Amino acid sequence: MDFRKISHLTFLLLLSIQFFATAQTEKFGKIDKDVLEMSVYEKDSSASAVVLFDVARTFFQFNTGKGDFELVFERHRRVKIFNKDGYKYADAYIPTYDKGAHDEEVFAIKGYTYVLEDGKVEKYKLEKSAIFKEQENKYWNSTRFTMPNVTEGCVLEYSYRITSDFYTFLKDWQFQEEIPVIYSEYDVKVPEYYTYQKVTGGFMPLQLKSQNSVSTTVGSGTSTLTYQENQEVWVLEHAPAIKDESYITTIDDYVVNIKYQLASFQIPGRTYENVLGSWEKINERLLLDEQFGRQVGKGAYLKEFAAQVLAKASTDQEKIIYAYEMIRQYMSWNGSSALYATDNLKNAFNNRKGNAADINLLLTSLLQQLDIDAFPIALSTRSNGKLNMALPMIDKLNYVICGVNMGESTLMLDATDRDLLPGMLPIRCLNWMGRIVDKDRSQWIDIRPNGGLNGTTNVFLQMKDGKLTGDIMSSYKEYSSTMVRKEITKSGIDEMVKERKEDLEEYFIINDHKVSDLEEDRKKVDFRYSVEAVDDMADIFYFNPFVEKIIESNPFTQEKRDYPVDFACPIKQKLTATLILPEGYVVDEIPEPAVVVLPEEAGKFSYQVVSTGQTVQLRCSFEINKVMFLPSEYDYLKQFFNYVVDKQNETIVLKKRT
Amino acid sequence: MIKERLLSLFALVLMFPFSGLAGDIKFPARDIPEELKGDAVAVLRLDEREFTVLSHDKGILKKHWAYTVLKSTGDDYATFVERYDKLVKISNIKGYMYDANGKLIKKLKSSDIIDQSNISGFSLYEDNRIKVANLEHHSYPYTVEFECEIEYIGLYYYPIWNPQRSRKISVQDASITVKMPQDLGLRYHETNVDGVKVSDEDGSKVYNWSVSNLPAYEYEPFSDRLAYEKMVMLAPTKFGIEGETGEMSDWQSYGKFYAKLNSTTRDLSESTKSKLRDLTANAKSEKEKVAIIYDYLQSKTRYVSIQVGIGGIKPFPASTVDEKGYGDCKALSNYTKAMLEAVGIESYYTLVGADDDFFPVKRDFPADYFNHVILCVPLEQDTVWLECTSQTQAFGYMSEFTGDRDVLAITPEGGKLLHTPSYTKDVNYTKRKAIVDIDESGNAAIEVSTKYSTLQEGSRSWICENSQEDQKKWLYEHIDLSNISIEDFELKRIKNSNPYVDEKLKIKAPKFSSVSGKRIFISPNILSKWDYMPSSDDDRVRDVHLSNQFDFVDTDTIEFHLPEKYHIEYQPEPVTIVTKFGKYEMKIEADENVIRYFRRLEMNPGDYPSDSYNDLREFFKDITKNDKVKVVLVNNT
Repeated sequence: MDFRKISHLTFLLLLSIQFFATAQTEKFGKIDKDVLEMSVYEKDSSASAVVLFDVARTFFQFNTGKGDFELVFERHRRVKIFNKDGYKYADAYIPTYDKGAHDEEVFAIKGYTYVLEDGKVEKYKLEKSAIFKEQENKYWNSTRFTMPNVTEGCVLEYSYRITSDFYTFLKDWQFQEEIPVIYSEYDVKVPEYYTYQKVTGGFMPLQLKSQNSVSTTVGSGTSTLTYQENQEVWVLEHAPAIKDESYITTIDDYVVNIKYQLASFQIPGRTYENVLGSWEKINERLLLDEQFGRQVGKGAYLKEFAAQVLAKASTDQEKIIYAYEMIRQYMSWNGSSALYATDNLKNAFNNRKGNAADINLLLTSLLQQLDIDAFPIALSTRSNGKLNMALPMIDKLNYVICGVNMGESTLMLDATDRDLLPGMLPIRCLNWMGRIVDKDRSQWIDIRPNGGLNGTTNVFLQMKDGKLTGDIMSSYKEYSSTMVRKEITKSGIDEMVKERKEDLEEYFIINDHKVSDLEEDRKKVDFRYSVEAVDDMADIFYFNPFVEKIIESNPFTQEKRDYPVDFACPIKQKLTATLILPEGYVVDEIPEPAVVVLPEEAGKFSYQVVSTGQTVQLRCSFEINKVMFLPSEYDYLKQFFNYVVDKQNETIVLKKRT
Repeated sequence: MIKERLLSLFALVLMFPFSGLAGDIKFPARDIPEELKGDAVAVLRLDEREFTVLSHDKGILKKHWAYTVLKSTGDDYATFVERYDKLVKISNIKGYMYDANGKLIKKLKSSDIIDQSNISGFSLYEDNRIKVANLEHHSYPYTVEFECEIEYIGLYYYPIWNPQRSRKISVQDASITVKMPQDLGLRYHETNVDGVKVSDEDGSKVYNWSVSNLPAYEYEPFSDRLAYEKMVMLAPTKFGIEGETGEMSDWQSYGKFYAKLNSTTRDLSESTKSKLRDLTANAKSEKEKVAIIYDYLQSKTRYVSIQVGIGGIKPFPASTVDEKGYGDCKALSNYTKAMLEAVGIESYYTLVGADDDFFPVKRDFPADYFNHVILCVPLEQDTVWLECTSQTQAFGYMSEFTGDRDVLAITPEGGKLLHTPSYTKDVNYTKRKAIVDIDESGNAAIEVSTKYSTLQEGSRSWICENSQEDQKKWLYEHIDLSNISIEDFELKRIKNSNPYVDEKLKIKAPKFSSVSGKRIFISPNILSKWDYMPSSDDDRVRDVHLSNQFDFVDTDTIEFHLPEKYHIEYQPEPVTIVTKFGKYEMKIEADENVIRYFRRLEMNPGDYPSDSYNDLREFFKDITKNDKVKVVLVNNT
């Protein structure tokens, strides 16, 4: 076979496309002096560096050696460095996957650093000696390199190619980075035999620059093959720098990006195969997967557990609760989110430790063996980003919980966490949607927080033997209870009481404490402290009843906000305080009562204080009822928090009667 | 007599009822002495090390150890992790897992051993790799036993023996045996360990140390870990690595090894040398020349770490740095030395133990204490110290990273111990002056000017290098006043050998003072509230160690302009607290419509007896409390 000819032809074809696609970019190795003279990026003067262009393309190439297509990814990138803070962009790290017979390989790394020296453009080549290849572990290799002679004002340019045997997913492309990107382009060309599902994400719209169909021929003589290729070119221009913020799911939900996943393929002469083109297909794939559906419901190793549950439980409800308790007491979570079991569920069971899939698939199996209608629910955790219902992507799923059909509703269980109430999911799972994986019920299910942060503090103080004494009672429910329980598991009750003592020690001595029985009432944790004031009361006594602050400080300090604020779950905090005035004292001043309500009752703060005779009573409550606030709502949200912080600093003034 | 012997034999059989019979019962958890359980997450049942030095440049370390893991937080100890590289080989890895009763339940298979890269976060490339094998079990307690053999091709470091590697583990039995050939001397330094046993065996000299029954212990803040740890440092006399040999018995010869190793690495081209001479031609002093060269270094190079083989101790040639514009601490210091040489200035390549957990040099025990390289320039008037890996550090400043410690300077005559500059109260301070205008609604307009000097610069030293926008964001996050808006600000760093940051802020703080009815409550300490409080401890064991970072003085002078028609209802009394740890003063003076707040905190570093720990806490508590005082104004009308 004479391949030179053909590749020449293909090359011509490519060349014409290439010319069009890279009109915005420049030829490798050639640079304009103006770019080197640029001292600041006008659109963002704070940028330490700017990506001038980053252009990548993915295409299929027929590898005669392998007799199969292989994927090629090419990237050409140019970065302008303004100051030393931007030097880190001179280091590159390219991970590649290696599964023995099938792998990815990096080729043709080329690079130049361009520097203006005495008004002249000098270029320095990236030498082979600055490129390092390393086998990171069994499946991953890496290629690392760093650019020579990096100075303030220089421009870095490099390009490389990766060939890959894996085409279920094409390489993802991020159009945005921590520094601004002037021009970013991703050109994807796929033979007609393959159909890819794509998902775009981010806060700016991508531009589809072109969409074509081109003809390609491989082979020679009589054994040629001509086919159509579908090409699309995506572009984003002038993307601002991505900056991380607190109270978001993950920054990846906001970075402009595109992902491709194989949906179907049809090789000539063979039947059409739908791989992962719909959520139903993903459901089928998961049900057949050795590390997912194939193992659910099976396993003689669970028989003993099932028998123990049956011995204790008389109703289905009890079966569910006992099974849930048994699995979460028996199994410990290794901290990994996962869609697939580590290997065999039986091994995880014997090891008593596993990832989220191991544990919740075990729970599902046990429930099924007890004839409970249970099924896995696959989802994407908050740190993994939101699911897009319109775009079936198996890769976006990274976690499994267990769902139980309760007739009208579905009970959701996660046995990785020992401190949750049945039906409550860990905060990490509260990411809006999940997908039921089941033969007959492949469908969406809402995942809403079943509970919130919920804390109540009651303070009661009166004068005794010349000192203010009384009780401080704090009660934690729902997610607050979970968090306190975790703290207790971690450091023990004694340590927590000790810390509380230390928090209060400037004002109060804790004489006695009591903690509710954690097992008896699993719905909450109560702490009761008997306290005595450190100082004697002065003639004018300034008293702030917020011994437990509703909000420590306003988490929203910045002037502006780019992304929505996502609290994950609602918040409810309460404080009541009763102060019995000592003999001879009168109230001189009490703070004004106040009620502040955000639109649609998204947030509510109420502060009521009354003084009757010798008693002062304060009731204060703070609520966040909406989980997500848009950037346009940021300003009032910030002011709302400020108001609460200020109000809880206000003081009751008592005076000795003269 | 016979009766006695019979009895003892019988006792022996009783003591080891299983070892003779079942043969595979090992390390049953019930054999752990009660006092070792306590807070321990795992117990090191046995740790035997045998280090055999074969020659000045070859050695073998055999390790054999067993941990009983008591709870899930101790699972880490069930993992085997050993690092290796081109000059270190690992072989004969064996592992076993036993249940609580000591019954063997698993044997490590070679397929269980994971081999992976171990490049540190700060490096671009290293030949450093690890072998990892995990024998976690989740039924507590359980025991893991490991063995391996490590071969050193090139001997430069001898292993350090610190049998209790973490305060969270107890040690039942641990020992190290060192076998030296007759012609090579072993040097050792013992800390909190004694009783070395020395013997002769097959023509080698054998040293042995052992410890037993060390219980796990509580973390104690402000304690000098190294002063309490049981440790034996080992060091060679003659050593060799990749064909280079050296002598470590005294600092001078140790330094000569480096002098020789680096002798061929300062190969700057004639054109670079003449360029440097041109650059410095107009300098008025030697010091100015050094400053020009340092400036050139900072603008031309950056830190890139690549460590392979002997490259771990030998710098890249200066010509390579000159060509590529990067290098690690060795390469960049060596490059700077070469550049200074080109303009006729002598300097010393200097080894240092960097960062605040550095291992202090024991002057009488030459060994490798170092993990970083700096440059020392001995000028006639004073000595200039240079950190060559930073593009932004102040000229001649060592910071807390390398300041105030013994270092090994490589001089033409060999190694010489020198001491880097320390930053004491006279230069380590924060000085703040502010004017605060408060209106009737409690809103404030604040103008603050603060000087943060040397160690007190903190993260401001690098924030100054960032863009205005990032500085502003940083200020919003770090100014501890709620609901402020920054009207104007300036952050400026003055870079000399005692650098400082000048910070000027103009802030609007609505509701700075809370107003209830006719009263206004003012917190006069606006920006330096003490909020650090270590946990209380009634049975403190270790001495209290306040490091040199506590050698500082902070002063605040703040003037408040009050709204008309208000008078002071309450003002705190002046406070002066004098303790051995430091002195705190606070006073408030009031005039017509003006309050002047003055605060001064001076701390004294040093070592104090363990029973003074609660006094230190008490002092911090007093500071915390006094920093929160309020002045109450009341409306006259």
